[in-house]
Amino acid sequence: MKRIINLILQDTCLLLRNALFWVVTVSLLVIILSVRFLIPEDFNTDAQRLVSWNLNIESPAITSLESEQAVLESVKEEATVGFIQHGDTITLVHSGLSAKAQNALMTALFGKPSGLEIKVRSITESKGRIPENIRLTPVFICFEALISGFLMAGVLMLEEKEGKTIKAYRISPAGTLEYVTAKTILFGIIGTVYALLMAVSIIGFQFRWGGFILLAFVSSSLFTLLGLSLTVFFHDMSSWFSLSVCVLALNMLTMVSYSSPSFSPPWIRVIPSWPMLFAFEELMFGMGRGIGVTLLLVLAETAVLFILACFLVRKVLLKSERRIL
Amino acid sequence: MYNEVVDRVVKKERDDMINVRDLYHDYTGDGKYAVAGISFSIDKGEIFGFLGPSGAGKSTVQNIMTGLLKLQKGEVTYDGRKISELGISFFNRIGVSFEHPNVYKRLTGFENLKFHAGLYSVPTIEPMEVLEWVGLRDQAEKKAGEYSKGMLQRLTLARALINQPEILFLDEPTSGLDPSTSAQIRDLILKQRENGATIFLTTHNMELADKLCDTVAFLNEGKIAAMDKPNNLKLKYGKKEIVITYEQDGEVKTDSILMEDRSTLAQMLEKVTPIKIHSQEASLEDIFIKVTGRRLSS
Repeated sequence: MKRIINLILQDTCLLLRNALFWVVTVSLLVIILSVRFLIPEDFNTDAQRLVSWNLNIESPAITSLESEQAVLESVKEEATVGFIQHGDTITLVHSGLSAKAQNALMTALFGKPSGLEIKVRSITESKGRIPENIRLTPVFICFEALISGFLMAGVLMLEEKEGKTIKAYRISPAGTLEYVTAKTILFGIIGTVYALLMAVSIIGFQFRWGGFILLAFVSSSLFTLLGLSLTVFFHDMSSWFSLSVCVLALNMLTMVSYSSPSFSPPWIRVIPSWPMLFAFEELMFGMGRGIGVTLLLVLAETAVLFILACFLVRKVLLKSERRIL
Repeated sequence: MYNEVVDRVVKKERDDMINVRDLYHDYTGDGKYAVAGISFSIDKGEIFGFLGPSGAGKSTVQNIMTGLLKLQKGEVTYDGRKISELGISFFNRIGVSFEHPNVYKRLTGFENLKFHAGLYSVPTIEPMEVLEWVGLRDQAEKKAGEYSKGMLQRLTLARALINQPEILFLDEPTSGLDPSTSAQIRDLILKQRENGATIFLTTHNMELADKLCDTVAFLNEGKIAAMDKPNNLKLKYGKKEIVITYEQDGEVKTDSILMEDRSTLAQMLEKVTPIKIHSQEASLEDIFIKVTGRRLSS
């Protein structure tokens, strides 16, 4: 443990003197300010998918489902807008539609009131509308705060390779486990702090802290381990950077599902950020979904990546045979 | 009689701290050995010099001995135990100073030593004390990136000493240092030997090797060309000469005469009036050239 703490302190010193750390931190603050002051609360003009049960009105824009429960599930899981009719009462079910958008939708579908009673029901636990800018917070957490470990751990490892300080580490009694653990803990903490900073600055203190911190730490560790596992194969910053851009771009594809939850094909669900995005949405806005499965999944992925990172760091970074003459 | 010889050899091997037997290493796997059939032993408290030009295989041998390179063929033992059996705690016993300084440039000299010391599970020396030894105490709070080449070399050496190693591997420890600092480092190496450390010195600086080493091995093209105490090598391969400086016809001239050639020496002394007479023995470089046909500094 003494060695791990020592390595964490060393990496912290190195990080505080590295320009990348400050670039990431400043960009984080810029994102927070943009969300708070630049991005409007209601910018989403995309047509939302409409579903219904037992609705007397027929419209090609509305998909009829087989039960009331199916409508509620669709609204919850796919962020559709639902209509449920009981006699003369139509209930509009949504998961964060603004009042303006609700009125526009009602007028377009039903015209002027014709003896129908229309109720509005939000399925989010907070019962309130989630402004579009605020709803972006999980996106920024997943694609800025949590991936910082991927970038920074990679940069530190490359600096150790280029400066050959890793050779000095190899002739010390410290081993692979300490090396990987120290970096994972450090960047797990940094990612969590960044995520908390974003969440608190943007939505305040009203979210599920315990689950949030746990998920942020594990997710951040996962990206750090992914960064370490890939960086061992590179010797210079430029080739490593190209691959990193590709990996991070692939990881960001899940944004499409987040903005249109009905688009969640199996291939997109296997990208690590997919369950994270929806879990953070749940933890911050209370969408009525469980996060237990997501937490277990991310924990399992992190455990597998930890074993892989230890294997690769030992095999490629610390034990590689090179021609040194 | 035979048993006595065997007992002597076994006892000698037990007393030897380091034994290297028939070491081979092939980087490419095509049978071209970077080192081939290297064997030597080092007693506890001895300074063993490994001399050879760049590319001779010095660092390969050192890297195998420190576990940085995998042992392919041959045997390396410490106190009779094979290197493969030693485990990670072996690194608590050794210190390695690399030829090319490899310290964290963003950390200060003090931080470099403090964090490296934190990796050991044996008592370590206070960083400031080691920095004092290598003459860097005043520069302790300066980032290593601002150090000169010589200062970086000294910081690398300081890092190798931080865990009070029993065995020190020094790769060109005085490279890039001015004569005064070189002398300071030489004294520091001798002090480590006085404190009981065994030192494996890799260098192509024959003057340093001559001053420090109890035994030297000449490495050429991956093989040991000669190995003995420096004085024995000089006796075996060198010629003792008398150098006479004299004035003749208004010019200062110098002649060398073999010490055993007394008649020529007597004739010379009758003919000229010497200004200066001194004896001269072969340097390690002369002997290296004689043995290998190559210069050490090439």
